[in-house]
Amino acid sequence: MLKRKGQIAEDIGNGSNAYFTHAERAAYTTAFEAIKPEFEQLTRIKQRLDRFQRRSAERPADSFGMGVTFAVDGVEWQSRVRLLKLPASEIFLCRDPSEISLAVIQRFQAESPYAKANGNAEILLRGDDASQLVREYAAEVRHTLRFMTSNLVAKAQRVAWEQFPEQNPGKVVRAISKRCQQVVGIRETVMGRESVSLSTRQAQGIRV
Amino acid sequence: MNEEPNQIQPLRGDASEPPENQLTVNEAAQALGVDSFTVFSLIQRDKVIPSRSSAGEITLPVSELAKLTEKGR
Repeated sequence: MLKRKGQIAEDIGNGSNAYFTHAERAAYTTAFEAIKPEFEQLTRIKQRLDRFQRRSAERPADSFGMGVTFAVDGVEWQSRVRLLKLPASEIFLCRDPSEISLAVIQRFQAESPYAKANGNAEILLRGDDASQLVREYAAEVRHTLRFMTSNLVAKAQRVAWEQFPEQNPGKVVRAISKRCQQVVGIRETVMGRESVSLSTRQAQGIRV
Repeated sequence: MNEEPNQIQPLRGDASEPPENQLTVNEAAQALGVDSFTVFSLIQRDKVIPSRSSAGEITLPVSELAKLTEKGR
């Protein structure tokens, strides 16, 4: 275990060390435990998003066989591929019977109060290009994950400030925020930087 | 306050509703029989108007939630 100025450096679960005193470490653990179920859900959804994006890149999303049929607004949509499985619903890429239109449709549990009032299935996006539709939906999912992350950090912040106001709660929250951000965004940011860097080198005629 | 950049639309929910009439996202998800991801998605699609607690967490007024469970909206 590393030590610096009497503080203990520990791996806080995001692959990097943070220097915490014992009390700060306790604050971190308590605040993180308060958001752990949502953090795990966030992680699972992000992994599924990555999986369906990889699969879509390997094979066009509308090349899968037909599956379940959904009736939405009087149209019988046929599912082609499941894009995402959530704890209480599933999202599919579907095609209409005329084979012209595509839609991203969310199917809810039939017995849920939401489905009873709004129907078992709801159209989230429509279009006629499967790849573009999948990309648009993936962008929406990422946006929602960032929104979830923001709320998770707010919750962790409340716990840290309420229960550990003397234990450097700002530092604790920054560490939790970093951990959440890594799940939903850092990879894209790094890839973005690499891509900019590559473009610059290419523009300058440097062999890469 | 929350140190994250605000990535969401302005919150226009009825913050005047007392705290006992406000649900957290998890509570709202449970009441609707959906997952919390779907609640966040409904907010982003303007299907429900959220509010924010004094600590900065998203809450949903019970009156807003009722809109999602009324048939024939």
